[in-house]
Formats: sequence, C-alpha cells, structure tokens
Amino acid sequence: MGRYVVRRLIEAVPVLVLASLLVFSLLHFIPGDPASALADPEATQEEVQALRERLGLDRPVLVQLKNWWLSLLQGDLGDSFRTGRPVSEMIRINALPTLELATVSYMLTLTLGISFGVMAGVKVRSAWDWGVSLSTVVFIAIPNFVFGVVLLWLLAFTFGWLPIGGRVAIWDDPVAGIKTLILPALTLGLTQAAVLARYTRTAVSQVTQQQYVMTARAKGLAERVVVVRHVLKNSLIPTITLSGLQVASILTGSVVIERVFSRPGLGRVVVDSVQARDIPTIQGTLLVLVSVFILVNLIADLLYGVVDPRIRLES
Amino acid sequence: MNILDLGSGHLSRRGLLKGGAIGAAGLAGAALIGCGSDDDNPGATATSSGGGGGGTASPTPTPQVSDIKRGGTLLVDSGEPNPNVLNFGFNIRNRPIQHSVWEQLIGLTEDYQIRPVLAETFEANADSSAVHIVLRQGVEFHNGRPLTADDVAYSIDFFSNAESSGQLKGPLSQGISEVKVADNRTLDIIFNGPRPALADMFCLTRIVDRDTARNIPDMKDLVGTGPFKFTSYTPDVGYRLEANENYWQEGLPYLDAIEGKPYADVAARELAIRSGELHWADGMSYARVAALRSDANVKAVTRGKAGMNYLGLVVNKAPFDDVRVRRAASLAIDRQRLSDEFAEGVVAGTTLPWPPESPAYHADQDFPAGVAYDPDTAAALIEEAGAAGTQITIQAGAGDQEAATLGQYLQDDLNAVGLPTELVILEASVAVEQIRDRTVQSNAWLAVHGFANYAHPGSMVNAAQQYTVPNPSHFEDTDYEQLLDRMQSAALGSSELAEMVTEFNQRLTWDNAWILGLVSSEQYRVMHASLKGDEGGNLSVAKGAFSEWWLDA
Repeated sequence: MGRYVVRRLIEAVPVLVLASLLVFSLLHFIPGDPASALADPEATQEEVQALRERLGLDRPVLVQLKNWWLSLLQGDLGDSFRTGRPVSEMIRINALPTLELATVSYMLTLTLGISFGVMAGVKVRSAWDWGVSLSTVVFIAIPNFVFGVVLLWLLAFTFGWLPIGGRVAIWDDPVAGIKTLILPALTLGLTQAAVLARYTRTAVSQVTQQQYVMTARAKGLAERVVVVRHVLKNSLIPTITLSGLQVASILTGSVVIERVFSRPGLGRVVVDSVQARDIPTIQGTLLVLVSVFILVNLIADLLYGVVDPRIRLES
Repeated sequence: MNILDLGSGHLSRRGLLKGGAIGAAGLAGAALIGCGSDDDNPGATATSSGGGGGGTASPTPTPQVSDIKRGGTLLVDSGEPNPNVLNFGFNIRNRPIQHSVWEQLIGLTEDYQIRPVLAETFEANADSSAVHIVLRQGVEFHNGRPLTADDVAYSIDFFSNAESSGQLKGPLSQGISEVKVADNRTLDIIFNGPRPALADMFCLTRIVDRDTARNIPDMKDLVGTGPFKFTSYTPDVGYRLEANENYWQEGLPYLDAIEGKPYADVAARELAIRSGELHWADGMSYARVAALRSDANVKAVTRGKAGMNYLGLVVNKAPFDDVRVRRAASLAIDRQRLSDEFAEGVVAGTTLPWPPESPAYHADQDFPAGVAYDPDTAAALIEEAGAAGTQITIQAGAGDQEAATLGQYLQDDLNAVGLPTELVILEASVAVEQIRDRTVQSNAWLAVHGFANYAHPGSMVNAAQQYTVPNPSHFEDTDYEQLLDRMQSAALGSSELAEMVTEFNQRLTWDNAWILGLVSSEQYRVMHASLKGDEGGNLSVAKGAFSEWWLDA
C-alpha cells in the first residue's frame, strides 16, 4: 500500500508540471495584454508600459516561465498583479472558506445522495423511487446559480432567515458562521446529491437483483442486514468513483456559488483573477486545485481496495 | 490623459458637471471652474482671478443637526478595488476609498465655485499663470504627521510621473515650471503660461503622504488627511475604513466606519440593497436601476449626465473616409429607441459630450434638434457616396455587456440604410488597447466617454483622446487642431470661448462627424432608504465624501 501511494505521488509530479505549463501557455497566448487589462482604460501608453515593466511582463515569455518555475521550487508563487499581495497569502486566506464550503457541501452530497439513492434502489418502482427520481431530475436540470438565487430570494430576502451574502468564520461566531454557510452549501450540495442519488439508485437496484441477495433474503435475514451487509457494500464501487469526481465538481461549482453568495474563496479568486488577467494568481490557484484533485483521486483509488478486496489483491 | 472621476456622486441634478463615468473603454471629459469662499468653512478664503467665475458658494442642502444620528458602519459596494490604479486613475471601484482617505487642495461647490479643502487660500494671478496657496492650519495625516507645503510639492511631482500619474498628468507635468515652497504652509506654483483651467488639475490632485505614497499599490498602507482612515483590506473579502478622530472638520464624520463588501453577483447585490444588508452601491446597470425604482426601500440617484455612449468612426478607412457616410450613419441611428429600449428610459439620447449644465452645451446642437433620426436622408447620402452595401464592422469590448447590446441596435439601424454591419466582440483589454494605441481594426468602435468635473471646456477636448489630435479615429485637420489650442487658452466665460465651443460642437456632430454620440451615460447609485445625508450629493469634490452621511437605523 505504501509503495503504491508513493508511486502515485511520484506520478503526480509530471501531471502538475504539465498542468502548470498548460495554464501558463493558455494565459500567455490568449489575446490581450494583462497590463492593459489592469490599467485604467484611459491610461496612456507610457503608463501601461510602466505597469508592464513593474509586473515583469516586458520580459520574454520563456524567461517568465523559467522565473516562475524557479520561484515555485523555492515555494514562492509570486505576487498577485491584481492585489499586489503574495499569491500564497491569497491562497491561504481563501482556501479555508472554500474548504469549509466544500466540506459541508460534500457531506450533504454523500449523506443525501447515498441514503436517498439506496432507498430508491431498494424499492424500485415504488412511490418513493418515483419521488426521488423526479426530484433529482429537477435538481440536476436547474443550474446551480439559478437555484442559488431562488434560495437567496426566498430564504434570505423574503423571509429574512439567512444573510444574503458574505462569510463569517465559524470560530469567530458559530451561529453567524453557520447561517452564512447554509445557503451556499445547500445550493452546491443538493445538485451533487441528486447526481449521486441517481447513480447509487441504479447500482443498488442492480445489486438487489443478484442471486446472493436473494439467497440472503431466503435465509431470512432482516431487510436492514441484507441492505447494509450485502447490497450496499457491493454497490459502492461506482458510488466511490463518482463521489471522487464530485469533489472536483464541488470545487468547480464553488467558482459560481462563491460569487452568487458573495463568499470569499478560491473559486472567486480564480474568476476575479481571470477577468483581471492576474497570471500569477491564476497559475498558483490552479496548481493548488489540481493538487487537491490528484490527492482526492488517490484517496478514491485507495478506497476501492478497502471496499473490494479483489482490487486490493490485483494492485 | 482623461478625467474620469471627480464628483462621483453629486446626487442632485444641481450637481452639474460632476463627472466620473467610466465605461468599458471610457475616455474622459470636462467642465468649469469658479472661485470664491465657502460658507461652510468660515475663515477660509479661496480666490482666483484667472479661471473665470467668481462670487460666493451657494449653500449645499444641509440636514438639520438634530436629525443626524452618529455612529454605525456604512456598508458599500462599488466592486473589488484595483490597487494598480488606486494612486492615479479614478476607477469607479476605488471611489469609496479615494474619496474617504485622501483630499485635494480645493474642491468645487454646487455652482462651481472653488471650495477650499486643504488649501485655506488658493489665489491665482491675473492671467492664471501662477497660483499662491496657503494650507489650512492643523491638518494631520492619518499617521499623525502634519500636512506641509512639501507634501503638496511631493504630490504634484508624484502625480506627474509615468508610474503614478494623475488624470491631469499632462497639464501637471508639462504646465508647471516651478513649485516654490515658502514655508510649511505656503507655496507658489508657477506655470509656463496662462492656464485658465488651472483649478481643474488641483480639484483632481489628491494630496498624498510622502512617506507612504509609493506603497499605495500594496493596499496595506493608505495614508491621507481624509475623514476616514484605511485600516484593512483583504482581497475578494473587502476593506474597512474607520473614522478619523483627528479630522480637521470638527464634528465629522458622522459614521464610525465604512466597510467595502464586493458583491460579485448582480442579483445578490440587488437583494442586499433592498434588504438593507448593503447601504450603498455604485455602477448599477440601467435595467437594475429601472427595476429598483419601484422599491420604496431603495433610492436610485444620479447627478445627471455624466458621460456619453458613442460610436467612434475610423475615418481613414472606407466607407467612413467619406464624411457623407459618417453623417448618414449619424442620421441612421434611432437614438430615441436607444433611450427607450436599450436604456429602459433611464437616460436620454444625445450627440454632445457635455451635460446640459455645461456652458459648452447647446440644445440646438444636441439630439433631437441638432441631429435627428432621418433614415431616408441617410440612405440617400449613402447612395450618393456610392457606399451602399459596403460592409461595416463595429467592435466592442467583451467586458461591456451593455456595449454589445447597444451594438445590436446599431447593426439594425445601419443595415436598414444600406450599410451591412457586423458586430465584433473583442477581449476587453484588446479593445481598450486598440483605442489607446489608435490601432482600431474595425471601421468603428463602441465605448463610453465619462465626463469629469472640469470647469473649462478646453480641458476636456484637450484631454479625452477621441477629441485630441492624434485620435483613434485618425481624424486630422489643421484648423481643428488650432481650435483645440485656442480653446485651452481662452478665458472661461469669454465670447471667444463660446464661439469656439459652438464650432467644436458643429464639427463633432455634423461637419466632421467622427464621434457619434448615442445615449447619455449616467452614474446611478442605489442606496437603502436608511442612508441619509446624501441629498446634497456628497461623493464629489464639492463635499467631504461620506463624511456627512449617516445611518437612520
């Protein structure tokens, strides 16, 4: 297991290098000049050139790439063009709100997605199954930013139960912190839970038709034992695969949700930086997000082995 | 260099020329100066024998003191600040900070008289080639250091160099020949010739702390003399300004603090304003303004025309190399429809880059009296020029959704008179860059020109790059160049200047027709009903920004 993990981590290095190269190339070869984007529209050519020099954009692209990689090796992600702050500081400040949102959303996704999916899959074609199917279709069909605005309008504006935007750190004020987290987490979590519920429902319904499940029932085992011990464990492989990928969906979804709910976070940093052509921040933030995604996939791969001994033995 | 701000918020119609609109590729504008003393500041005198105007400031509507509630935190949103232009450009997103932290030597009153701010005396000589300044006594920077004449000299130098610059960088760097500091409070600024518009540049030049000014782009150490002190800024989270307890205007500010909260989503922002979770927001679209007007909890205010959406024509490319086609394009545009549909009735059609209050504005030269909608004549002119069927390309910046929408209306109008028109949306910085570098690839471009609070019409026409020579349209004419020179040096209020302005308007709207005005641009601010004290329009050089606002909650 240890060797497997080390090998996967070593394999991640070229992925990160390629990802950084791709991001760097995209940012430098798309039309438009970051200095022009950052300067005031009415700035003169001389002012834009002065800004270009201050930001180091007047150097050849390969020199910029080399400098960035050299800095990266020293743990320096550079300074943001847009805010003047170190990129590492911006990531540090914004990672926690994103982690907070992603964790709560993911817990909602797993809890609701798996439980509703299992219940629907065990009772196929029942009213419960139809109800779950219908509601999941609705949640999947509605774009999450629309869903978010509807929730805002209803729960925050109309009833005034929750704040419209912003974030309060939970350790500063737990009640206010939870209040600011409910709507974005619901918006992000429910959409992903709907997807997971549908996959789980399909997997569970297939497993319930297997002979070993019938045998278990024929043995007179309680339905709860049949479901938990025989059905659930054997239907978890596709669920684990999907739930690993859903971490990426939640992180990318946070890009929109953080904007809708005016929350700080990495997603918002990426969007604002793209709009401002803040190259160091985009590069640094995406590098962190790619690393997280690689790590989550590694964890998902390791979980396969935990759930299914055959995979563990093969690997 | 253009002027974009100054006055971002004179909220009453009487706020006259206060400017500050900035669009996707906004370029800037102009206005008027005066002189006089300020009744709000007994003991202070400000006189100018040069730039025109005179008399005493008219009193700004002032709330009853008994009504005023002190304390509270004002929550504002004008977007994420842009530190790269915090020290020079008057970017809309930086306004709450700029107007609260720093101050100028002088401002303008509601009726365009000079209002002393940091200068106790501001006195120009007879031909406006020099100004004598005595600073107000007892003013301190937020770090406790007293304001001195050396700080003024430093600020002038700071805003004159390429890195920091100022909106009047040209006049500042080119027009000033010497700054003589006599003592801690007194200095004389000598120009290299008469500068009738000299007050303009001082209204726009903020006085910075020389120890920290270079650090402004870091957004960690913003030090001025204004009513609020900068305390913190976290990117994408917001900033906080706290009341300056040593502010030189006794009893001000009323608020304890101002917090900037950037709402990235327009729907969330609107709900926040309506619910009172946010008190003040800038830069609302016309559609949102129209929608919010029906909410009793929200005030949507504007100080009037603050700019102009325009179509710039490239005159060294067919078919706009023929002035008949340029005139035809102007006649083909249905500006009333633009006002009714594009701007949802919130702003009016226009062809002149001046607000109605400007001495340069003449209704008979503006839409509809000056250039009316006349598609039949337009089609005939195009036919006569042999340009029927010539493909037109209009470009707009991708960041400006309103320009893209506006472009579709123009496509419709120009197609109808025989000029098949294509709309090209460019990456925002590319669009701006092409205008700035005068390398517009299309036949025409869409942009917004924001006015400022210039006192002198000559300031605007010599500052906004679509009117100067060279310009992005490549319009060149020796007589026109001479007109610009003469306008700059003509005395404000003189009959010569009035004639020159009329000629400029005539050239712009018909004779040469290289910039076609479309609809006005107005800077709407929306605010929750609990926010008070804005009736006089305080977010401008005429008053201490936010310092006289309070929360009735």
